[in-house]
Amino acid sequence: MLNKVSHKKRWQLLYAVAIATSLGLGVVLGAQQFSAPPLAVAQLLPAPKTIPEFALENHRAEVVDATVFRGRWSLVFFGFASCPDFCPLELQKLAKLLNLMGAGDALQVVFVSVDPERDGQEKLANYVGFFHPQILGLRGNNQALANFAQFFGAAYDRSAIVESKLLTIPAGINLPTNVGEQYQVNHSTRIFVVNPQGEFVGSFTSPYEVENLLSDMQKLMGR
Amino acid sequence: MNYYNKFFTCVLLAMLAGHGAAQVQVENAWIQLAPPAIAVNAAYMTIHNPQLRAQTIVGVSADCCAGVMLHKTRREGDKVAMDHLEHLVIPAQARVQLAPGGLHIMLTEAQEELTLESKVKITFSFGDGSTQEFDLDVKQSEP
Repeated sequence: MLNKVSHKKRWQLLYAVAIATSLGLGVVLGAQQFSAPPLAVAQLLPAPKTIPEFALENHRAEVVDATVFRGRWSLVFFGFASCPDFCPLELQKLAKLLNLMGAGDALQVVFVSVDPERDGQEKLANYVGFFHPQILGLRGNNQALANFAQFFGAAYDRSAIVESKLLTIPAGINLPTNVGEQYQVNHSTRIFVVNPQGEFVGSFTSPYEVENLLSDMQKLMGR
Repeated sequence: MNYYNKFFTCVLLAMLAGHGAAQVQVENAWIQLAPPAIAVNAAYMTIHNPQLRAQTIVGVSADCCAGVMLHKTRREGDKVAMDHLEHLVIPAQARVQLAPGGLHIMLTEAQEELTLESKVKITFSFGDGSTQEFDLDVKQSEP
């Protein structure tokens, strides 16, 4: 009889342990799910990186520094205004995202021109305004642009045929005067995500569907 | 004499048919509207070659613009660059797509800024010496 009771107790204990374990596992998995929602296109950095101080000019000819990234989410894209194919495609997608999000000032798209010799302030203003009023254009001197791009890991250079030879002008170097107007800008395709604390948190690259980007930004922004 | 006339008519018709066979079909052609004061546009389309032999486009011109180039947007890791193509082969019974992010015709040095009202005529020159014209509208975004 005594033996029977202890046998029953043992089974009860085993059941209790099994239930507790599965509950615990559920809580742990649930917490993991909660802390890192699966993202469709964005790749997050292991740790956020604070954007260092910089000085660039916006498309309204105002000097901007790192505070431009405070208090709102930003998507940063490096390109140039005379880009016939890739930049318009990306900016149209980002403009579509801004419309779908309807987040107002909580989300901005930042277009950084890496072609300051051709993209003056007025040209940049016309350019970004054409795609969406919430796109902020940034420009600056070659060295400041190169430092800013390097922080994100956004590679770019310019190339031209000068006297039948291919000339590559690295990031940060002023365009030599003998290059003229006919040159190419080879630039990063990545779009960088910055949180409202002014920290670079991740990036994504094409090809991607705007709907997937929308769901990622909604998750990141907690909307 | 009558016999010879008929013979030459047949030869002429055969030559014309042969000339016609050098042509491709251009489908869904359009030009991307550029932002104001940006004098660079891209033209996109699908080129269909229904013939049994490949067709090679060796030259492109446009009535709107002095600068016309066949380009291909190329990815180099995370970077994007543009390649200038000297010619474009349309394989037999195949379609080649000129679409955003890939192949396109770059239009520069326009006589007048292209607007949504502009009508553009593009001419392809083929390797066999034949040419083909087609019309394009300017659109805000991909139709």
